[in-house]
Amino acid sequence: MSEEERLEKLSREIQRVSLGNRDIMDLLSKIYELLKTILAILELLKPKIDNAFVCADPHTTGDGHLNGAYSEGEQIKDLIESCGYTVTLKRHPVSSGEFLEDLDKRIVHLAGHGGFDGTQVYFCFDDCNLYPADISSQASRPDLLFYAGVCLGGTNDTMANVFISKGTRYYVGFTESIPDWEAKYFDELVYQKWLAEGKDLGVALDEADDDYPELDCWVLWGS
Amino acid sequence: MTEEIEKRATEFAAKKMRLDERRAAPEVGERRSRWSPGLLKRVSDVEVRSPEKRMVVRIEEDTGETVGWRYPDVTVGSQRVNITQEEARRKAEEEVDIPEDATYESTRLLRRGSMGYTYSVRWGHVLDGIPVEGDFLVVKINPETGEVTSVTKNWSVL
Repeated sequence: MSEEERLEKLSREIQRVSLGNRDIMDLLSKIYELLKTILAILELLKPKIDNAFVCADPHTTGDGHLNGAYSEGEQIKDLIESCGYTVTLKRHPVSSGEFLEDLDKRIVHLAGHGGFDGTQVYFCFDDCNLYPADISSQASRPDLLFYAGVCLGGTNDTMANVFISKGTRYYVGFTESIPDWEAKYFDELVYQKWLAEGKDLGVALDEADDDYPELDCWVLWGS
Repeated sequence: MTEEIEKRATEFAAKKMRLDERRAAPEVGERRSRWSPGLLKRVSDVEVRSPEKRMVVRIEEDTGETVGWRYPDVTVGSQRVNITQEEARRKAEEEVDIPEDATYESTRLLRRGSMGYTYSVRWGHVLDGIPVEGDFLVVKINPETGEVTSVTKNWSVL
């Protein structure tokens, strides 16, 4: 049935229910219009409520390329999607600008390279590195989780503080270098336990490192 | 097999939670069956509830062996560190059956960001001087209370 036919049918139904009474017919028509508006608003809001951005293996070639992280992108996308999210996936090459333009999603997951330059944490992209100031200057931020599946080179919290102070609820990072393929399975377990099984994020991380104790270098900041 | 797994989990939890017959018997809650990462063994995580607390017991499905347990409601990290690394190791050795062929590796105090700290005490598996790749026994301890929060064992029988 087309949208026009559906509306026509509904219009006839309103006439039938109102028994020809003009006032009731007007009232029902107004309620119908109001419901249509509410549904349209909900539809507009939906992607903003349950959406996510997965950025996996942003480097094109060379030492920066990570096969495990590339594969992780698809896995994490599927898993988050299965929990009702609309997911944007970007894989190499991803520039810093392309990364920042999707920072407004509810969950942002980054699997790639990062580091610590002695004073602050940075994330590596195909064109350049992003520092806390680059994130800080953005108007947008993920409101639920920023998952930095990268090595932060210690428990430095410069990057975490930026996200948390901008209003991101959780920030996950890794203080040491993590094996590419194991990270993929670890991250998958975390999302499975957190999003699919509804566990607290800290518990999900802790349980995941029960299975992968080599990856017990995770850190979680929360607001 | 399901009944047997749940029975074993309940017996283990009752012993660990120090329940005796004068008190209510623990109840079996949710059971999740999954592949154990790394070793490709099928394991069941069985939730066992007593009136006071909950425990999740991990049973290896083929052998029926208890290969891990955790208190899901116990705070994972702690802001305060009241016990030393030596005390954490001692606590782990008191609470857990350490296999004879286990080799102590480390006790680490892990920082968990705003969740605080946790101790991780680890043993490896060494047979005839050769380390068994992928085998480990890890005991996590709350550094404030000294309470064991979880035990995980991946152990090959060779």
